[in-house]
Amino acid sequence: MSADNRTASLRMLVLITMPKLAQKTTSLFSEGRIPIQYQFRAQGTASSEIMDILGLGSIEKTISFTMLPKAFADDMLKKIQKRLGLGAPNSGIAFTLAISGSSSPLLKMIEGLRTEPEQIPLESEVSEVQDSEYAMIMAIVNQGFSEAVMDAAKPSGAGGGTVFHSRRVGDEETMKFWGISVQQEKEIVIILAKTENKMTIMQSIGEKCGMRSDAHGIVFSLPVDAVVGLNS
Amino acid sequence: MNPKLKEKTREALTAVLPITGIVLVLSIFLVPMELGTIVMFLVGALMLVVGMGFFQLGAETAMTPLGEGIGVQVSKTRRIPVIILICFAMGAIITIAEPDLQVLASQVPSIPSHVLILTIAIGVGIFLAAAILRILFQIDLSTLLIGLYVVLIGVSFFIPKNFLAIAFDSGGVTTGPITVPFIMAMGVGLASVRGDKNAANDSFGLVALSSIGPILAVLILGCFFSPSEAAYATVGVADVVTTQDVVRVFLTDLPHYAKEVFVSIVPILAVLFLFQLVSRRYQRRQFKRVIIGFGYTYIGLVLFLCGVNVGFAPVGALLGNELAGAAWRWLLIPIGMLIGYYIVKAEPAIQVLNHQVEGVTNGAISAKSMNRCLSIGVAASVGLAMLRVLTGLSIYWIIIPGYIIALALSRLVPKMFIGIAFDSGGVASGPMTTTFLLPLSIGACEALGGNVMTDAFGVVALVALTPLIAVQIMGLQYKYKLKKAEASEMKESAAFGCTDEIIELEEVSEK
Repeated sequence: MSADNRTASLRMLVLITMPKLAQKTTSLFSEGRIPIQYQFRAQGTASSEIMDILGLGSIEKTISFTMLPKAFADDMLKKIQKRLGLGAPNSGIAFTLAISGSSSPLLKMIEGLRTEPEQIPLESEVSEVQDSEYAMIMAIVNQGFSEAVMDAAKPSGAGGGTVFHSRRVGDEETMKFWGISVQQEKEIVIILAKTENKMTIMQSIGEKCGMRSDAHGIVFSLPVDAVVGLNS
Repeated sequence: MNPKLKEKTREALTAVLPITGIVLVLSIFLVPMELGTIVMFLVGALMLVVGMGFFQLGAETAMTPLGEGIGVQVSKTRRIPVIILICFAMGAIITIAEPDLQVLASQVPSIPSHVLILTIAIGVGIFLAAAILRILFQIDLSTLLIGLYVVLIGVSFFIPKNFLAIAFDSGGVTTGPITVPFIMAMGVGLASVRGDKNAANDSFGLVALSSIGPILAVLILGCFFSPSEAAYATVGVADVVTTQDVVRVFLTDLPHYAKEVFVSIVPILAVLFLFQLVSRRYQRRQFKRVIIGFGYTYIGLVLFLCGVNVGFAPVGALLGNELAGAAWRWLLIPIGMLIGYYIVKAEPAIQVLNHQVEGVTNGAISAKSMNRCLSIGVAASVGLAMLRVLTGLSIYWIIIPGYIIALALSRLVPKMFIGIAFDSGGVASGPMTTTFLLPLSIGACEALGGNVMTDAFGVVALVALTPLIAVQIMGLQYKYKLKKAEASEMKESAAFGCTDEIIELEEVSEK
């Protein structure tokens, strides 16, 4: 069957928060009958160099994400903000990204949500959610350089970031020996920034941690649809 | 307050306060204690809280990154002889550094201290190298463990009965607060750069194999030296009247622990510098952080060991003595179980293990469920240990069926749980067990006039045994739940009439 086109606004909702608050979200999501959600571990970046050296800088974070229709997503963002008290320092942030395609089972699962009548919010309510003046910057660097990325990004207006560890797969540096394949360690840094600061932040990350540096980094950004929990 | 500091403080408090509370309640209702003793105990508890906090922070900022780093670099070398050499050396160095080992050595006077320590260090080195080879050659952990434990039990028949309990204790004792964070992290590091499907499973199991080394080493030494007894000293309660006395007692003991821990930590610090020189893994700021982390670990361990040895050990002995001497001595079993339930939490390496497990499984096995599982396990083992003190039951009657159950379970549970379970056995029996539970059972045994060598020792071995079973039972539950979830997912996907075609979505235009 050929791919078929459909008009629907779907969003991926991403929540970065403390592990304890993430548990609350799980129940919030199941209250909203959201069929699927995923979680993984990450780390918040340090607020200052001294704190970092003292080992008091980075705190554990949990990243959770799920897929929703847009109207639902905005409603859910508000609920999350209220329930978790986002906006207070160290509480976390939640934002949504546009989904441009999906496999049909996922679509069917999400569409199931629409049939719940009381859940559909009025358009006017949505306005409380900050609209897209933000972008998500992602920097992928070699192991150990996430702090360098933050050092580069902060002077240009980045508030904070979240780091998670990952492996580079499928390149020539992947080594196979015995039954085991060894892969390069990478760190991925996510920074949520105002669109106006986006370019300067990305530029300074590129200058200090780009391909020619030891960090061997690449940077890109994604448009963010809506966001809650950023203390401006 | 800094959120990290807050988290560590809370962790330390929840680890130490329950056991402190239980002892206080016991002292009011069942075993009246002198005020001096209680004040000593409370000061010890305070040192435990502060020490535990620092230790956790140090484990997180220094020991774990170092272990992980070495693990990662080892998997990148690809030359097997180098890997074997590094692992052997690391195992041996870390073991010599373990402060608990000195305690064990002093308990076995008939074997010269340095012979014992060296043999155990070599034992751990060989087994750590073997554990890495096992991963490389993809040998089944369960099969290997079955083979090794059969050998272990076999050898145990050749040594004097009196020595048996202490030999099995040595396995649990040697994997203490320095070894565990380091070796655990090494396993995680080894696995973290791998993309194959066994990677996560292989994160665990290193401590498991490493704690067989010492048992075998001590058993073999036992065959040669045929030691007839172990030395133990029941710590008397210091005679304190004024608050000044209390401070004096702690201050006179503190330098001893400061020196002991210093000697332990220096070789690891040397490893850090050597490793950084060779691999250049850490950036400047990270390196500074690791160094500071070593400072935390040092302060934490000194305070913890001093607090537990001076403040807790005498109370443990006193409790055992008084409870066993009283008319209602059967109460020893339920009270022992209660103490066991809460004492695991105060074991410094346990938190490290739980964090590691939670991290590797991405939260699927939470620290909370690990905690509960280990608490139940250790409660059972202290109960059994007290039963042994009361009845003089041979340790064989518990150890052999126990290991048979544990090994049989290892054929049934998901692979990752085997590693976690056998690791947690070594982790659960740390300094808290040797300085509080052991005096407790020695005290009880002395009051009953039993044979301390056969009846009181062995409590560490039991604490190392029951978590194997408890964690694997959790594994069975997990497997069952997973099956159910899979079944419902299958049903779900059937309901959605899965064809997995891809649909391009277009934004609804704004009104």
